[in-house]
Amino acid sequence: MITIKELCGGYGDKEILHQVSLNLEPGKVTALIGPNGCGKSTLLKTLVGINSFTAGEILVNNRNIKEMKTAELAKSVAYLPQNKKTPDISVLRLVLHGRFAYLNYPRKYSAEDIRIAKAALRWAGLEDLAEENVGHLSGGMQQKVYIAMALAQNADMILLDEPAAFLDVAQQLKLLDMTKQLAGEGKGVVLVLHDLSQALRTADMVVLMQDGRAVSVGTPEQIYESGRLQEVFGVQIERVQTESGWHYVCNAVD
Amino acid sequence: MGTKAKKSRNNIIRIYFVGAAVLLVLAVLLSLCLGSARLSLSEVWQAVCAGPRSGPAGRIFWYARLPRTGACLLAGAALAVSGAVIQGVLANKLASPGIIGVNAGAGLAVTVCCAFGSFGGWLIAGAAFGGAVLAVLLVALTAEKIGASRTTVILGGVAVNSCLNAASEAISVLLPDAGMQSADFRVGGFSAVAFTRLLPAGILIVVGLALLFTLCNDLDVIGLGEDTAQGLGMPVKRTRTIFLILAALLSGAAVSFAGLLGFVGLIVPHMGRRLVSNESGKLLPFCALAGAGLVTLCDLLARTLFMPYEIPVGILLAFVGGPFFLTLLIRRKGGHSL
Repeated sequence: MITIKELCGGYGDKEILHQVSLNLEPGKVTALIGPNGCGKSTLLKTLVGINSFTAGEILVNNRNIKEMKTAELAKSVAYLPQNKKTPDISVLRLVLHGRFAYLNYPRKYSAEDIRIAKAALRWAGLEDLAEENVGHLSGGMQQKVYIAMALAQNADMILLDEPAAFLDVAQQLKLLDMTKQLAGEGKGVVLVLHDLSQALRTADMVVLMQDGRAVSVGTPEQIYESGRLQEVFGVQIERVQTESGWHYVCNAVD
Repeated sequence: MGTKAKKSRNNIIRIYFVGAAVLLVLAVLLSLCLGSARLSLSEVWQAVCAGPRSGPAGRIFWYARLPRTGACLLAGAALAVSGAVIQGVLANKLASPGIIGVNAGAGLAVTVCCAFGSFGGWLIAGAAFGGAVLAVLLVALTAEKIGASRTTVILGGVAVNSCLNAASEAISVLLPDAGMQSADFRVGGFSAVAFTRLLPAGILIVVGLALLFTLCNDLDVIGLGEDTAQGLGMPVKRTRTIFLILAALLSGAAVSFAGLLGFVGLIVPHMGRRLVSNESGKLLPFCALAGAGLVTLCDLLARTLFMPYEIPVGILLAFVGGPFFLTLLIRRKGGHSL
């Protein structure tokens, strides 16, 4: 559980986040949405200590992150940035790095770490690719490997910045299904998504951001019905009921 | 990659390790035997058993060949591992202690020491370490401050390298007593190496290598990118500084007795990545083995090819390193960036 209270922060002297207050809960997929530059990625980076903050408070399981060491924080909150490198190492090795926060001296991964990493690979359906080089996989598979790495971190909360970027539609849907599965198993998943209809379809909770502020928080239905989406994004959004649930369609405003 | 393919890949890696080790042993034996006075293997063995007072062969072995071969091994291993670490931490395969000014920083410190007095081995090694640390931190902190790209980091390093080399040259010209203006120091060489200077530097190198070999997972995680590493629980800035200091320790210690030996820190890590693996747990030990072997072999050639003349080993390494690097660039044309 992450509690954010009146958070202000950004990069250096440039303040991007203004008075953001939120509760990010386990067992739910929370989507952060908003126009480019509204502070979604900055918020995630601030939650894991990459960016510092100038005012407010971030509590992880009721502990202030300023009192936590980086490794300690990583045991509770896993984070995958949008721009990830494609390392020239095996899939299993990359997933094993999810256990980095648990390393002690001598700084070698233990048999227990390997067991957990293999379990994460199995969960992601990647066990047959354990010895494959990460660089030889498709973008979608690489993203899955990184999610398995975050899972091996054994954190309650998993923050994913644009996990579906640059993937084809089928891979995007599979990946978003994985995040739902994670939430079903009790993890709190926080997604930054730029695809509005996917965000509304996938998330249990939606945080609508604008100019560094969380302007609206609620279920997808509540956010849709509030009318704030049209206001913030400047598009027309229609809701269509299908057999698989509500679908949202965005249209440009004439 | 299936289990069979994995086994076959592991076997290939094992073959490269064994090959590098065999080459190293051969280079060491030849280095101990060959030179202006040739020693047979039995003479070498006798000298080992009888100690330095066992006649001319014993004196040659203990006071010339052994320190020189030891120096080659230590400098080769230190510079190659230092190069691999710097490339990993700065995420730039063009980085090496010779290019971004680390060696030049150490060289300037040694030149200053020699210009202003005659100092012992520990002080020279310490000063070289200090000079190398200052240079590498100057490059890394500037890069961080301005948010430099990978290319800019190298350009900044080249600028630092030029300034520090110019300062060394100026001191050598203005204070000829510095005695460091020899070609041997400027391009790197082992003709004047002695135990007094080698021992302190050797201890620093062994400690530095031992520490780095235990930090391979940390080096791999930092290679995943700053944000990913932080998300995995690494205090990135602190860890990067520790790695740069350890790399500077290795380079500085090597420069203190070997001079400004170039190319080892650039070509050996490239060779290691191509032949063995990008994983630091395999790459660093391979770099240590191959770097030690390469420098010992080049030094052997440098002092035997044109006997009775001896050319500084740095010149030979440049002859090997230059074409190697050009080949690398040509093979990568239109492919991945360095």
